[in-house]
Order: sequence, then C-alpha cells, then structure tokens
Amino acid sequence: MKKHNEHLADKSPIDDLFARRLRDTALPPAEGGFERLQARMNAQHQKTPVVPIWSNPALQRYMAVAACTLLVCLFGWLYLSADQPGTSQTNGQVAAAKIARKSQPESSAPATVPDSGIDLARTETTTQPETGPATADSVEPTANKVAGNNALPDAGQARQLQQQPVAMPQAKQPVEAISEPMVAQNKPATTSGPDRLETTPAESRLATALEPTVGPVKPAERVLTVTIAEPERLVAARQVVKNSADDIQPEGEETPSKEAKGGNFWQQVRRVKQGEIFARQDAGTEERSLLSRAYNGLKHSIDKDKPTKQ
Amino acid sequence: MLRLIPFFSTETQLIAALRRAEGRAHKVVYERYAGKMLAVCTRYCANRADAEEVMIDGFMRVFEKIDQFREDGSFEGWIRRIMVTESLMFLRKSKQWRQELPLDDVTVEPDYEWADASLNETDLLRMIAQLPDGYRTVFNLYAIEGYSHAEIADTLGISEGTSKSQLSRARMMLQTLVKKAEMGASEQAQTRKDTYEKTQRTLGR
Repeated sequence: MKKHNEHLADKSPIDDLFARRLRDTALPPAEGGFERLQARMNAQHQKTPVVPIWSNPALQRYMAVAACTLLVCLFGWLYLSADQPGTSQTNGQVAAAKIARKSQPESSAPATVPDSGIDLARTETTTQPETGPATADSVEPTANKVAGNNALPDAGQARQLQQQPVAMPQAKQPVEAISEPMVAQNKPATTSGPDRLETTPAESRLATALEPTVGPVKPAERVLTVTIAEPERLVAARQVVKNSADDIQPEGEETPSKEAKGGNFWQQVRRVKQGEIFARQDAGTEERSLLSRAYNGLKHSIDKDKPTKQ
Repeated sequence: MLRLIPFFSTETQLIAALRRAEGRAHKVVYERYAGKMLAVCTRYCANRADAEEVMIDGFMRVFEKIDQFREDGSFEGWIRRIMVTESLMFLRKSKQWRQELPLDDVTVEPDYEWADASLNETDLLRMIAQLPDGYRTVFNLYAIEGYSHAEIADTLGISEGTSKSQLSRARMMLQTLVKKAEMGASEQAQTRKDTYEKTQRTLGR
C-alpha cells in the first residue's frame, strides 16, 4: 500500500497524461494479420513433425543390428533344436557318468580287514540300466568300483556275478581263512539270508544320485561284482607283515590311529623291500594311470634286459 | 428471420474454446484484442511493422500457453503482459537498448506548467516513439503499465537507480516534445487567427 501510494505520489502530470490517453488506445491492425498468424502457426506445426520411430535414421542402424542378431539367434536355435534329441540323451549319459565319477573315490576305497588293515579284495561293481529284454543277460563292466561287500537295493531283479574266495562273505573272519581262489560265477542276488551283503552308504548315495538323472532308467539294475582271488604267496606275505607289525607296535609309541593312517603305505614299502610281488591298486581306469602303468612296465622290461645285453 | 447466435458470449467459453485449439476462437480473440495489443507493441517497438510482428508472435504465444492461464485476473491483462514480454524480448534481441545513466546527471526537474488538451493519441505515440529505447521502455513500464522501479530493474536486469534516471530523462524529453507540439499548435492557431483577421479587414474595406 505504501509502495502504491509512493508510486501515485511520484507520478508526474506527464505520466498521467500518457497513461490516461494511451492505456486503452487501439490501433487498427493491418489487413490479413490473422492469415499471417495462421500461416505462421501452421509453419511452426510443420517444423516439428512427429517422426515415427521406424523412419528415424538414428535408430535405423540399431534396428538393423537387432534384426541381424535376432536372425542369427533364430537360425542357431533351429539348428540346435534339430540335434536336440541326440544331445539330450548324450547329456543325460554324461551327467550319469559325472555323478558316477564323483562317487568313485568314495566307493573305490580299498576294503581292508578290520584287524590287519591289509587290502582284502578289489571289487568292481557295475551298474547299468536294463535296456530291454534282449540285453537282459548281457552285463558290461563299468568304472564304478565299490568296496568289497556290496549288494544292490533291488536284488530281486538284479543278477550278481561274484568271483570271490571262499571266505569272502564272512568279512570278519581272519585273513588266513581266505586262501582258496574261487572262480567267478553267476549268482542271483538274494534279498535275505546270511549271504546277503550289506549296502554301503556310498552305494546308496550312488543309487539315489543316478535315479533322477538317468530319467527313463528301469528299476531293475544289474551288478557285476568281481572279486579277484589273491595268490597264496601274497596271503602269506601279508601274514608275515601282520606279525611283524604286531611285534613293532609295542615298541613304538605310535597310536593305532596314526598307524591306520599311514599303515598301508609303510606296509607296501616293507613288502617291496622284501621282494614280494606287489599288486598295484589303481584307483580307476583313467588314462593317466594307464599311461603310467605302461611307462613303468616298459621301464621295468628295459631294466630287465640291461644285464642280459651287457 | 435469422437469429444470430453469438459465439463465445462469455470469456470462459472463449478460453475453453482456445484450450481446445479451435480456429474460430483464435480468430475471435485476434479480432477482439488485436487493436489494443498493437498499440501496446507500438509503444515499445516504435516501429509499426516491428510492432505488428511482435503482436503476431505474442498471439502465437497466447494460443500456445493458454493452458497456463489461471482465471484469477482478466484475460486481457494476461494477454497484455504477454505482449509486453514479447516486446521486451524483441528489443533485447534487436538492439542494445540498455543505457546506463548515473542518477547525478538528472538534475533538471521537469516543468509541469503545460497544458495538453489539444494532443491526440497519435501525437502522443509519435512522441514516445522518438524516445530512445531505454527511456521508452522504462517510461512505458512505469507510467503506463504501473510497474515499480524494483520490478523494472528486475525485469530489465538493471539497477533501480538506472530505472529512475531513465524515467526522469524520458519525462524531460516528453515534456519538451509536448511543449514543442503545443507551441506548434498555438503558432498554427495564431497564424490561422491572423489570416482570418486579414481576411475580415479586406472584406470590410
């Protein structure tokens, strides 16, 4: 209000004259003024046309690249889908093989006699899905190795091939009892009875791992259990080693747990020193171990031939 | 008998039609306000052709910004402010119209002993057009639009002192022009009077 009063007081007669006369003055506009206005408005609207996205040159490059990528992906997908049945089967087999390989170190642990810690037997167990009645009798060996006393959960439809010494079913018997080699023979697996072998945890894991991955696997499985008979000399040597170990134990201060840890290795070393036949235990049929075995065999034969040549 | 239905009898209807971008409403607004807005633009631009261009630009801005109009004040006042803004933008773009003058230079106070009466609007507009751009702008904003010096300084980006000095200069120049115009008018009247008397004397003999 004060500002407004100052404004009014500051107004001179000239200001008042011009304000009074010119405030509401109107001048006649030039003819065609509205047409010019309309033309300018139309020109302004035309200056900024709405450009559709597909005709935008800046985006056309990206669209071309996207189209090419889409085509490549489409053809690739079609090509892969044509090979898919074979690949899926192969993938399933590969997955089963991987799982079996994973479970191999656990299941291939050497079975030992509880008292002596000596390797009792090497057993190879094969699990293979039954493909049909035509191949029901055929049993193929695989890389799965399970510890000595094995049995299948579904033994009614499985067949067990065992080549074992006489004393094998009774694992707690002393080592001396395992002396007679046995020929491998086909036996049906029994679900009950004293001869039934107990299922190890590793095998049960293997069985559960194989079930979902194999897919169309039939519940019937075949097991090949091969037990290699040990020669008499080896058994005798083991007995000797056992006796010597019993003699050494009271002298040394090592605890039984420590002995169990390194027992296998030192016993093998002693057996080698004594000149016994040492059956090497391979963990698997890997290429590396086979090569090393071949190399060692060659080396051994060359060493043998050296003195004769000299 | 034909009955003429007036288009847009109220300002609200007209504004609603403008918001719908109806060409008929554009024409109505132009025809209703073009004369007044041309006078406003002429006061600032001092050139009739420039004033018309500025007016057309102002109407375009009015039609574009009609959604921003809030019906608090009058529609004509809103259009007038847009025209003033457009005129100032035109001046800013076209010329260096800011003229900084120290306030100390303004020592001559205007003489208010004058009488106007005989001057019409066209004469007054011609007088304003003779002012420099800075003087004219400040005088228009202060004397006719009613802006304060602070608002003028804020709008034009000058100091309040500069606004005051330019206003005083503008008043002095206008006073001189008005006096000249009055002197010219009185001289003409005297000349006419002398001529008339001579004629009467000649006829009396």
